[in-house]
Amino acid sequence: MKKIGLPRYRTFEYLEADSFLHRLNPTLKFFITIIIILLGATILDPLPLLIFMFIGLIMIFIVGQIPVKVYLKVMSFFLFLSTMYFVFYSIIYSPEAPPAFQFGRIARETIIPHIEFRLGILRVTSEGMYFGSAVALRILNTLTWAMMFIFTTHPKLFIISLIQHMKLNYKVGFAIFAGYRFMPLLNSELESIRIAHAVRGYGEKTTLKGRFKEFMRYTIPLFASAIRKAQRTAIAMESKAFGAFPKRTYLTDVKLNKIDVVFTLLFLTIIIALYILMIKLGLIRSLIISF
Amino acid sequence: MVVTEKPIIEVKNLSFKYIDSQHLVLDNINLKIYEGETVLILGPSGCGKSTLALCLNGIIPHAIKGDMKGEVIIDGVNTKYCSLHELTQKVGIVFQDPETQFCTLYVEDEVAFGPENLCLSKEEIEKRINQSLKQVELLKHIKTRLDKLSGGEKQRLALAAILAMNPKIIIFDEPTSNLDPSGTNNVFSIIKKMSEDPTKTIVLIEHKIDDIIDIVNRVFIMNANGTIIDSGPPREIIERVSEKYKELGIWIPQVSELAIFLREHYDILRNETIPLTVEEAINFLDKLNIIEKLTRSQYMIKKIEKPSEVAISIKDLEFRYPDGTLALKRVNLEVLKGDFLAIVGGNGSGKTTLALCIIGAFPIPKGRVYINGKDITSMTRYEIAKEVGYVFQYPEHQFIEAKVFDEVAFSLKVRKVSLEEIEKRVTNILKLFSLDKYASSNPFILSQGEKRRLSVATMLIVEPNILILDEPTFGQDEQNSRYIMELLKKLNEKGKTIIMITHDMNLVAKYAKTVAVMSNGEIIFNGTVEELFERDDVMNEAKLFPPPLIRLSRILKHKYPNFINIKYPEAIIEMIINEENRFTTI
Repeated sequence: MKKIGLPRYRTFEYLEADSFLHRLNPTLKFFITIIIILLGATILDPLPLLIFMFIGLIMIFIVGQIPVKVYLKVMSFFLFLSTMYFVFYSIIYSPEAPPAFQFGRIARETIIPHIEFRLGILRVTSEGMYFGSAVALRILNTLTWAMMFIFTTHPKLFIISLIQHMKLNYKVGFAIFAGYRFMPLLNSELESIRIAHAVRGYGEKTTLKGRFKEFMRYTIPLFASAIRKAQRTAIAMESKAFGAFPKRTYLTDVKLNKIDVVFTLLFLTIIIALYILMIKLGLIRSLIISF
Repeated sequence: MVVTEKPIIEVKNLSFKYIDSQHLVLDNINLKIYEGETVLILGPSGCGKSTLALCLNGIIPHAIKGDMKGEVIIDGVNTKYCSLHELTQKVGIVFQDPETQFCTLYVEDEVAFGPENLCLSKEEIEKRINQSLKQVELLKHIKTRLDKLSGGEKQRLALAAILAMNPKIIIFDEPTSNLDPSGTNNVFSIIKKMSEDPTKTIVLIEHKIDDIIDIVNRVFIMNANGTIIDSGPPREIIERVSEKYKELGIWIPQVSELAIFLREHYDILRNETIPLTVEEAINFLDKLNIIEKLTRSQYMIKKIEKPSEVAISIKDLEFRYPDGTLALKRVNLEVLKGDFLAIVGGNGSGKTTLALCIIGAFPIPKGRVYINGKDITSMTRYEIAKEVGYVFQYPEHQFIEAKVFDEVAFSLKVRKVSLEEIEKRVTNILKLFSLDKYASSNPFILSQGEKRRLSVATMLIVEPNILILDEPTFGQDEQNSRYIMELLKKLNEKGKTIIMITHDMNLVAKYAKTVAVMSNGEIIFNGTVEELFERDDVMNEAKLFPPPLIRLSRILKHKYPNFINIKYPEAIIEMIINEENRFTTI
């Protein structure tokens, strides 16, 4: 199909390289990522999150050999977003408000000394900054670990690994994979529909309602063509005997080496030990999953 | 070719109806195809050729349910009683769209996909990958990502993925209709090579058959009702198409069309067989002594009067995609009022991007694109749309309203035209495009040809002076294409400026006045059609190929210096009549 319009800005995807992380079994790597992200989501103190994120950065840059530039390119928007969170919470916290309305309620109950100063009409508090930086770091930590996984994991190998090691039904696996393949196609399709409508004088609505209505108009041709494309792909796959047998073979087998298992167990033990240690040391004071 | 007695494909009284449809797609089809044959199936668009292909490889009835009657026997087994995976090892299909038939990301994996499904061993899979990639000459791309391949390479890969299943029968379902000329050539050369293999049976479904008809042993003709109405050797069928099946909208080779025109005109040719290839056409024309008189000195081409006004002017336009790729490099172009400009070049050469820049679809700097002398950055969307209509390659992309009538009326409504006026103008234009009976239908249910006509109608309703069309004949059969092109010609004669993006050099030769050739984001040639066909360097750089009649004219030029180009089949009659008139008036 001819590509019309602006190609997607593709930076948040697999980067080919040959590092330990690239070779690590995708399923195990996925476990590491999920566990750390979940642990991070329970923490609302900046320092432990900073430590987790630091470990993530070591993994990405040193173990995974991902260039700093690529990381920053993706992160730039989120750095901005988390700065906004930080600023927002720093000025919104009010010790006088009833506890239910205090975003920094947890911080207040900690040993953070109350300091406040004024920036024009805005009141900045130490509790607000503490809480704000924790929320910001939680976003950055989550993304850093997600990137660790995405940058170093070939989507194909991840799916095959899920099929081979997690007993995922291969038909489901390939359905996920087909969806992944379709995204850029649909993206360029949406772009050309948008342009085609704009040419006819559509797409200049500025109100939220107007924009929503316009978006709904795009979806009809988009779905029409997406369904047609999906049908064609399904026919092409079945024409090559897809689904003929309950199992299929693979040209590339994803390995589950002993060293992968040992590394994963060791790494997770260290992380969990660190987490418990930080609770014992009083560095993690709040165990709340909230934003 | 080795033809054995036993048919490898036998279809008996096959009828098929999709589950949600009222009418039969295939109606009582009977055919036999023998091992080693190369057959071609011709028919109007939407006649059920693709459905027939799916019946042959067992997708129907195994994966797509419907009401199937009759029998399909492949290599001695009835498809109804044979599992789909066994059938996929007998019959493989290369589909039209290079994108949607893939399900992996890398060349190697794509070829491995079929053998993997068959649970073959790793060693066997590797062996098959190597063999089939070698056959389609893609072995050097074994580790390449799919999106790095050109259209022609993708279709060859699709073939390799099929070959890895070791089928005896390979069906090509319009394998070149999404490709540019060099991609088409690329795919055809592989098909030709494959047709020499006596163990492979090839079923070809194709519209543009000029460059492939010479390898075909037999042709089947399907009508719009999904019935095979005729079959036979290509030469006989082509003759019968031009006599009996004109209304089916089937393209016949240009050289054959030329010969048929001449045969109607000259009694001495009455008993000659018609040519299928350029070489045969030379022999055919040699019988005609008037040919040598058609030279430049005697027959002058009508000069295009150059109107002085400029409709579109592009100055030093550069355009970069957000990811940094330079899509247009310092493009300069002037389009005169009343011109019929064709923009040609390979896929990805920047044709569509350039055309979209003209209508302000992308943010471009000031002082680069002017419409009637006005900088487009100073114009609103409506002002641009009033001057320039743009018809997209895929008509569905443009549809906004749920009814055909409203679709056409849309542009008038946003311009606050009175209701009676809208009623009158829309009714008129729907009649002009023979769409009046669909006024209250949904645009999405129209046929391909009707959708295309509707998209042109929606653009013409505001009466723009400039009309840009991206691949106006894409996916259209002969009749629909002719309809659209003749309409454009009429509009052009009335003074409208037409810009058309196309891969089809036959269209360029027949309709365009001037051509702009693009390659890698640059305009490497801008001049008349005649000049372009003289410029081998430009044609080679842009990977274009002259249409068959121009190739024919060139060979005749060696024989008769000063022979002029025959740009399209009908042209020769005009040329000859002119020549005869000149002779009688002297």
